[in-house]
Amino acid sequence: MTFRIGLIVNAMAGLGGAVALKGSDGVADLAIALGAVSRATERACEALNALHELGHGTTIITGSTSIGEDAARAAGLPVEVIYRTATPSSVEDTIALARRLVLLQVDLLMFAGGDGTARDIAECIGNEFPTLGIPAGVKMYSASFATTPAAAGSLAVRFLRTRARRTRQSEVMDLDEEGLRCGRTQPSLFGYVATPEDPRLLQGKKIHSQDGEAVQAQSIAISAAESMRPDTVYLIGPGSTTWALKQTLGGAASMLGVDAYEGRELLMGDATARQLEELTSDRPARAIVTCIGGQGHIFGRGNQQFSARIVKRIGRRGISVLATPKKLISLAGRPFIADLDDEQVAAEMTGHVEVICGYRSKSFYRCEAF
Amino acid sequence: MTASMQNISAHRFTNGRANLRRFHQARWDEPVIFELSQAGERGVLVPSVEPQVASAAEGVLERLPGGMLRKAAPALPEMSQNRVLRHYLRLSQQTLGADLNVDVGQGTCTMKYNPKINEQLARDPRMSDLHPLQDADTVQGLLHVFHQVQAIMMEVSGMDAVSLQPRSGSQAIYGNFAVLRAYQEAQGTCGTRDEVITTIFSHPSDAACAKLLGYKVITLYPDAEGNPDIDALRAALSGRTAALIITNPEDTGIFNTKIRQFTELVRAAGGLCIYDQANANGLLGITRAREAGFDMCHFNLHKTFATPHACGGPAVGAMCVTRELERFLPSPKVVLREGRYSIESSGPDSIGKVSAFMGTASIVLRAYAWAMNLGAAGLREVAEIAVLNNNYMMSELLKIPGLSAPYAPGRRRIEQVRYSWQKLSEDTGIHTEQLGIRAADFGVHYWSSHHPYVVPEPATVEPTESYSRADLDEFIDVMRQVAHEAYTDPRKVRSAPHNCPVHQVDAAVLDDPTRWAMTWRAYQRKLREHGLVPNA
Repeated sequence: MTFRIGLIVNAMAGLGGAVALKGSDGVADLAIALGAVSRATERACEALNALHELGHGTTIITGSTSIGEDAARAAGLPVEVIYRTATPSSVEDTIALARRLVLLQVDLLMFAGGDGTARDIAECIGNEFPTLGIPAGVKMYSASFATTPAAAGSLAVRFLRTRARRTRQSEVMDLDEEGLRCGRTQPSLFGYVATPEDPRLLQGKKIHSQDGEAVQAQSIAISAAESMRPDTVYLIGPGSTTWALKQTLGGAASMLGVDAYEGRELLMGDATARQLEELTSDRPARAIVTCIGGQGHIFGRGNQQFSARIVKRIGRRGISVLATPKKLISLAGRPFIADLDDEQVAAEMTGHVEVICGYRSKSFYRCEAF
Repeated sequence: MTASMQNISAHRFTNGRANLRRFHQARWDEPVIFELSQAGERGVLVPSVEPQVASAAEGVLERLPGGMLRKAAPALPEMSQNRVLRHYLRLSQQTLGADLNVDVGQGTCTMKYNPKINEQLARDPRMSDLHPLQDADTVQGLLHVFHQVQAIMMEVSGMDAVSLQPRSGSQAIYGNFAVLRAYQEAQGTCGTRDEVITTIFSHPSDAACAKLLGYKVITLYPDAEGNPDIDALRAALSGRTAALIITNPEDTGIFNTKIRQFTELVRAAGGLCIYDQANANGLLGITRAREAGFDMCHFNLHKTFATPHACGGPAVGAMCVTRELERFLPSPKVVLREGRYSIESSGPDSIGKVSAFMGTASIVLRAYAWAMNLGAAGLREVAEIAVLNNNYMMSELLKIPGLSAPYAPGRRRIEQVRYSWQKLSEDTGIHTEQLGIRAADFGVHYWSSHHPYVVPEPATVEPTESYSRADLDEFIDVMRQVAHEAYTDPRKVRSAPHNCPVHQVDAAVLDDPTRWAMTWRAYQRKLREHGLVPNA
């Protein structure tokens, strides 16, 4: 069995962290002047070390020097350089190399960097190509990263060895670094990438194929759709699980926007906060949202169209969160978070909200104000 | 002293403590039994039928319905007795089982010693030759045993009525939900109360059986202490609540001290409370379902009451209910009237049969023998020793770097613990399943958890009362060794097993129906479908 693994290392990733610049976007030169050293190549190498287990015939397809070749050689793996770049490489290099690796149909695209790198890659390759992040940045809010470089390596090995490879949709999140440096923390949802589903978590003897994330999202969608009443306006937020519902309902809905439905009919796609307020001014309304994996935000991350005024109108009992059990478990006991710019409304959200987590399956999960 | 004399046990101990076993599982490369068949080979030569018997049996086949007659003889393997014996003994050597290893790693299954004298009782011809359609007058002894075991279950649970008909724990859960539905039909609340509340740590059969009977399921997640979130229960309760099904302790082993509040809240909301007591090993004689406010519960005799698991059955799940629900129990039932036992069908409210006849009588007999040998004080001692063993093991296992027992730090557990290798996994990249496979190289194994994993990198260990301190220490030493190897020689763990006949299995096969073959015939057919030639 031969494996071709694409690799992109953002050698500038993580530079700003140690010198308290809260990120490296646009400040790499300053960081280096302050004495920062990038560990991205080292961390990529740590992940690649695990790939020896795949045996001979494993090749790393990447660009020259710091964008991947250095890490692959340090790990002692065969390298095929398909892209030449200057050192250090730029965002444009990352994007160009990612596009080529997708065209070459490598088995898995691994990248070492932070949220900024994840964003660049998600924007140019979309959400279908199997992609896995090696954590090497300052901020890693995105769910596309493994927990450690070693974990990325072993997950890659398990994924590649499995015949029935499966991916899940992982959020790509990023903070606006300019804002962060001024003390504002508002990570936003920038899209999704397809990350390997850990076969070990899927294929125990007590679990079967229908437990795949996509199938679960489908059953959640059917369950949610069945409960929708024609006299109510439903505001359905962005996300991969809510997207399954939007697809079930039909109509030209948006994956990253808030769409309004009257019963099961699309009323308005990708509506703004003001439009949502108008749509709900004289009719009973409910909100259907999802939570950010691992963090738990149900409002204030990627769905700021839900203004405090709308959330207040709908109330805690008018909210349904769509989330697979795995997503709830990924919160490790932390509550949902409602990050709204009105403290009083946010406080009213404190309590338990309904979660639809499967066909005719619900849960009630604690929510707290940000 | 001669120089050739050796201490043959020297390698077994260090400072008085047993070293790790130099185990190697057998590998016989044994064919499937059908491949061993030789046409005409016989295990038993059946003598020809005497003329009198032949004439008496004449025409017997014509009395059978045509659809029940085989058109061809069954394609059974043809083998001599000694080859059959060899075949199964070889296979038995390639397995690990409760009578062969320290099986405390099979957490939640309550692996305990099944006394062999009880096996002898169950296999005695006076038991094994009975037929379920025999006249009740000829099986008064066995009906007495059923009656007595029902009484024992009533005493242990505090409930008023019992059915021993279900042949598994899941069937008892199903039976209890069927009772719930029958009760609701009688109350006229079927259309309005259609929600069952359970917890994420509950056995998957709890939610599955509720759904089979048409209920919607609400799942509670644990709070910081590891108990189901009681505020989530409050939020979930409504006029739609039919019942709560819950266990205590859950798989974490943490005793839910608020259990009475749970049942009171549910009853106040108009729902019934069902206690999944499949595993009651830490509570025998100490707490009872009735006092905790439950309306129904069930026990797995093949767990707590020391009868064999038998590779998935047949077993017995004992359904226990309050007086109010008795009329809904399965039919038939054993009735004692004027010193005579009879088998009578239950009334019109009964849920009917959940299993054929009375259930698995031989398992009921084994459980009876076990419980009667112990007596009431002995049953309580079982629980006490199981809890002691578990807490000894937890205190030793938690000394292993990389292992933790999530939730309720510092609190003791009841009869089992769901541990987490999360830290070890983050440090080394080794996962719990890999550690479990490596442990098999030392002749033990452990179970991780139901899916989805709520506790990350889980390992569930349940040392029941049957295991000695030396047994527990052996298991602890294996755990310590595999964890040590994960930190110092992860490649060895990743490439395990090294001492077992079957290497790592590509579990993707389990996800691919085109490659499944549940029977030999299906296997032959699929070989042909894949263009491969079946064996001669």
